[in-house]
Amino acid sequence: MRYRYSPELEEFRHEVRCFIREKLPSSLARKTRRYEHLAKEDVQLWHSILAAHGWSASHWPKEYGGPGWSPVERYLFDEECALADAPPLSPFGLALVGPVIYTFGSDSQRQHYLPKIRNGQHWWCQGYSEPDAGSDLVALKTKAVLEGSEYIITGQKTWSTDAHLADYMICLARTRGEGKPQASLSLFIIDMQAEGVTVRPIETIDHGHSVNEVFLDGVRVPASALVGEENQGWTYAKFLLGNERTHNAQVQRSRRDWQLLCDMLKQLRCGAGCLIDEPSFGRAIAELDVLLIALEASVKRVLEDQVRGREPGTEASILKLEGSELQQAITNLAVRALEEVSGPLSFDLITEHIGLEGPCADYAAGVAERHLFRRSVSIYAGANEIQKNIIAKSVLGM
Amino acid sequence: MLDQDSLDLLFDSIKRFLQERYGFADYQRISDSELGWSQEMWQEFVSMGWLGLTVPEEDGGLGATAAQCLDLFEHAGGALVLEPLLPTLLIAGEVVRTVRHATTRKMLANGVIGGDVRMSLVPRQVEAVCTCSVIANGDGFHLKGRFPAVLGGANATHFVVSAQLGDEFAMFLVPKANTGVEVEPVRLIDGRWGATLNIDSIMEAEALLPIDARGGQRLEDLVAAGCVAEAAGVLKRALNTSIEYLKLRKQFGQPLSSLQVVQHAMAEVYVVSEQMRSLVKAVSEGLEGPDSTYLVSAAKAYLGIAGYRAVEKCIQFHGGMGITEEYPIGHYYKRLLVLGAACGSASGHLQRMAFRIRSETR
Repeated sequence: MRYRYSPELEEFRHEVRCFIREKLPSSLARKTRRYEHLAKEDVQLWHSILAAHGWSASHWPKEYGGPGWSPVERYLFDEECALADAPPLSPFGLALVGPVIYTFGSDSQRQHYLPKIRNGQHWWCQGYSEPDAGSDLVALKTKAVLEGSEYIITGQKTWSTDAHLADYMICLARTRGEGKPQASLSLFIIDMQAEGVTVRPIETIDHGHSVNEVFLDGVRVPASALVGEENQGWTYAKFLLGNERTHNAQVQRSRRDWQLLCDMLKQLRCGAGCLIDEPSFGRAIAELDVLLIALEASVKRVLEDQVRGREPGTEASILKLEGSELQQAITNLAVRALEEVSGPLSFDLITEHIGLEGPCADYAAGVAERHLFRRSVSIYAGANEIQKNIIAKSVLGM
Repeated sequence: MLDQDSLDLLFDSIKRFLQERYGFADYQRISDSELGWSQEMWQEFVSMGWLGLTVPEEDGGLGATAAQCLDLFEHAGGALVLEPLLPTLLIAGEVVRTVRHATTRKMLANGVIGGDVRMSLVPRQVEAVCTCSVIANGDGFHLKGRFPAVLGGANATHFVVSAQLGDEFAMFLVPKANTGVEVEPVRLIDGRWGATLNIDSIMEAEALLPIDARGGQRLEDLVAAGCVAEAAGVLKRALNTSIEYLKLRKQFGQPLSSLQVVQHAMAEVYVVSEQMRSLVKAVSEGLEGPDSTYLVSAAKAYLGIAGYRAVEKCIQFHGGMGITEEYPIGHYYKRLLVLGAACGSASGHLQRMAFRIRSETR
């Protein structure tokens, strides 16, 4: 089932769909379905296609080079990208750093960084978490000391997605503030080529490489690398993570995964029929649709609020919680289905052997990787337990 | 049709009225009364114009759509209203609109607006446990069947019954006063009166409503949507009541609300309650669309999958108090169970969804 929008919005959707159909290389769509850790060139290729059309920074305001879309148009654009298996663009520059820079940054930072984030020339990574500061981010220890016209930054960051590919890091470090630990945090831009920056890969259980440790050993950055004001970093970081949470609902990608999983259940043989004819699988796939429809309804509510000028507060926590659990629930069912048909999982599933063909065969080939890596979605961007703390505190007043 | 602003004003006044006049103590008093609902309260609803909400304007009503009325059910659910607003208000407009005979139509419309006509929908969902046959009998029909657990059945004056007429779907408006209509009242666990209906009755030709299978499905969707909206109201109230209690109740020298294990569980309840409200909004926007039945099924299933569990957690954190009749939380739970099962349980709706998913192009 599909929500209907106004004729204008449906026409907009149609325009986006036609564009993607014409421009998206099928090899990229296939890799996306297979959940391959895409090469930088692959993602950059799609990024530059969108950028050439003015659609890469889809949620930025017009004055900074965005298309000036409404929240609902942005949502529909993302939905069409997801349904066409377009590779997700690297979110750090576009979704996280860009808005921080155009909201809190200096004019020269805007002029220097925004265009290159938009056209995909520069990649960014985050320097937030540390070995002893994960969900408890405020405990971070990385120090930034002002010496003349430079800050000297020393510390260790971890879980930095794409740090091995990135040109810049947005880094949260401790400056010389007073009072609560939140009051001495500042946000910096670090050039990944600078002396003293070392990146070490972290291999994840899906045998992929996307996250890294980053060592900052007396890295010198100019004072102009400070974003906004000194000691206001926590405010900016919360703003940034708020954006991340809305983004992390990933409801459109989940809708696409659900479709592919449905097709998979319709092709996988089981006894005289197909897996989807089994009542337990039929019920399970319907149940996932119930949860998807509920999440889509909540996302829509937030979008309509945004159209009325009300930015999401705690709703973002709802979306992150439910969105991450749903992503996991979908791969859980995919795993159950493959186990039923072909036994224990392998990273090298040969989908022809179990009678799969078409897009859902690509999906099946990536189920093991997806399932394993998706354990992370309830952990990153503020673990789900942190989201529950936020709800209990700020909504329920507990 | 009534514009949204006037409607919002009316809903605000309904909300205020229920806050002031339909507190938990009022609910308890009414529930304990012999009738199980309050005719005085019903008359107040009538005098405030609530019952004419969906009746067409040309028949003297306000002409609101059922979708526009879902907010009212959120309020009524939260207040645990015992009076039979639920089936009547949502289907009356649709039924009155289809009646061709002018005198009958006027009588029905005025009756609904004045609170004397109360309609109850006998859903097709109970087919598995009901037998029903209808045969043409001269100018009229002979309707025969047994229908268990009809919501609002005990205090209805008219039943909207679907039946098989040859190969065709048929829908009848059956007055309770007809010879051969027998109502066995059943007290449901939420204190409301349902009924088992035994019909063996000769109907006049005009009892057949010009409603086809799609129209019949639509009526069921409307009542199911009303159940979902009430459930959203119940969940929100269950959450708020529990939070209040948890802040007051101290154990081991601190309020229960300061324990993280309790906070996290209540955050989960909050998520379910908000998702339920989002679903009500989606349903109210989608009721006129092509996927309305599927959407209503999803919302109804969500109630069974997530809603029950949420209020069960609330009871758990009340400790022993949670299972006393004196505390509201158990009453919210009982209301939720009835709403979850009326118009099809979660299992039934999931089965139907699965059927549709399977039948979509492979």
